[in-house]
Amino acid sequence: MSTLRLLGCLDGVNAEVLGQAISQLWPSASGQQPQVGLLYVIDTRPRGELERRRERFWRPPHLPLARQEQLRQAERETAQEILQEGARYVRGAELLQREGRAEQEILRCAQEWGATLIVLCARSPRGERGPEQGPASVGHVARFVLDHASCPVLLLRGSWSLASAKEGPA
Amino acid sequence: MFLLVPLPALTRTLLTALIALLTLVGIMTRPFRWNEALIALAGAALLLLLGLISPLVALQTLLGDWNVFLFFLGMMALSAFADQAGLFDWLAIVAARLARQRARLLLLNVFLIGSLISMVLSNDATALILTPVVYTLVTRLRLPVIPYLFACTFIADTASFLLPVSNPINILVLSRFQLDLWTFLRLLWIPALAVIAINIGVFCWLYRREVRGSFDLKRLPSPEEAIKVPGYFRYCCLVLAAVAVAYVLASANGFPLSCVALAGALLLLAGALRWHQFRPRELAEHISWSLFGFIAGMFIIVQAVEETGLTRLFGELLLRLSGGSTLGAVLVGTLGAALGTNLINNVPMAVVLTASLQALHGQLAPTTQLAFVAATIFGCDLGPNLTTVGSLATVLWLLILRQRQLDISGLDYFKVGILVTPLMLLVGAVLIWLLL
Repeated sequence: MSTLRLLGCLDGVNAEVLGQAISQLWPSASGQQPQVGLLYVIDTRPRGELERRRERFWRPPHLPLARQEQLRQAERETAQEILQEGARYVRGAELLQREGRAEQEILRCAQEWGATLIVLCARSPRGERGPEQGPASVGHVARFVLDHASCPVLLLRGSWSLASAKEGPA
Repeated sequence: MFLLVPLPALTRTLLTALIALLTLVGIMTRPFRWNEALIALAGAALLLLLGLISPLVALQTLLGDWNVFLFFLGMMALSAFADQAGLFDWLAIVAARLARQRARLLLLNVFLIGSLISMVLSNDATALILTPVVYTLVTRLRLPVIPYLFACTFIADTASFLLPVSNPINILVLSRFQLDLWTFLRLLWIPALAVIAINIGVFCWLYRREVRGSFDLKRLPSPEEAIKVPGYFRYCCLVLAAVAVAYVLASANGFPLSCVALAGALLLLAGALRWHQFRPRELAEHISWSLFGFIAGMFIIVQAVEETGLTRLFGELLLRLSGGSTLGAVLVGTLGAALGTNLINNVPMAVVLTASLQALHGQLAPTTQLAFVAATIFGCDLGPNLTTVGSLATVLWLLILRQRQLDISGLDYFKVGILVTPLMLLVGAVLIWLLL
């Protein structure tokens, strides 16, 4: 039987929740430890917003070089911090970083990395508007991954994950 | 070729109207992503070639509007020097420190510094320089980017009629209608504060989930890190404070504001040279050269249309729609300007509206004219918040992408814009009417 290759999707605030879920579902004592990859995607959509704004004010869409570099550096450093944080909760995980639209990059990475299960939160508590339960409680990233993933997807609901986090590791 | 062949008046009118219309449609749709300046200049060149406007009149028109051109130049240079000194980064870091680690308070502070920057350095500076600075800051703080990004882009326009210098559109309108500072403030200051409050209130409600909680102060750089050369930074702050005061004094005394902006920019240039901070390439990146071509083209086209009497007809139509009342004038002016800015961008809309109102000179009661002028400024300044993209074509394009399951932040902006902008327009228009 081949080893489970589990791709956990970090969003900047869910490292602990993801770590708790993995440790509860695959306790280290069970002897069936999956290979875990932790993915963080730098979302490039807001940059598109900046470009549109510049065009409205009669400027070329790209930012001045110095500003562009400053912004990219902030994004890269933050991404590294988030991945390192994830590694503290999921020991031995492979760290993966991508850039682009989160939903598309998750699917692309899952395919390239050979993931057999994708684990992600239904909605980032900070990233998107919307309720935690009921209709529209699954954010657009999770919805897109559910709709298009070619492997099973494990969706962590906000309430479940918060409750487990409070209970502590099993 | 028609320079040598006199054309009947009707043919001239029809040709001019056709070229002006095609230019506006071109600006609206931007076929093959052509630059708007190119389209406007092509329209103007065609009018000149066909003899529908004489080169002398075109030249006189451009020279007559020197204050507008130089103000644009001075304003962009001031912002560029302030950016080089690190002022925007410093302000953003201070705003974050004053937020006491609370994400919601940071959103409020972004609105406040955005208002301040728009008021003194124009909406251009807030939208183009503050926005990426705030983007970088909230990325470091691991906060959701969109609420803060939209806060910057919205407040740039919402706070752009606090002073005549807060938006170049104001200068453009005021170059045709002499409105003293007191009248400007009397009519637009309270509506500006009201729409800023509405903007903040709606955003705090709309993004209440995203901006709850706190951020880690350790991730924030110190204000000193933003300042590259302390001496130049202090000098820059001093000059900008002096420019702000000079703007008010110049507005109050009818002194050309472009002279103040340019003098301030020259002082900052001297400072940049003194502290070895002058970087011409960076400076040039901040200045939109195509804007000058665009405005020049639009001025010539509108002048040609004016000569045919069509702007007068448009003005009369506006007057008829308003029913001759001040409330009607404010509502028609505001809504017409706001819709027009989203169809053809606010610069051409302001040029067309001011030319139409000017053509009605003597036909309008002073209060009605005042109502139209204030409404034009208000509508052209605030209107772009409806779609941000400034064109209906782009909105339609975003809607098509949405159908293909792609999440587009531009469409998010449109949804927020459609929610908050009509409310702000209505409240502001009623307040202007009450203050007339």
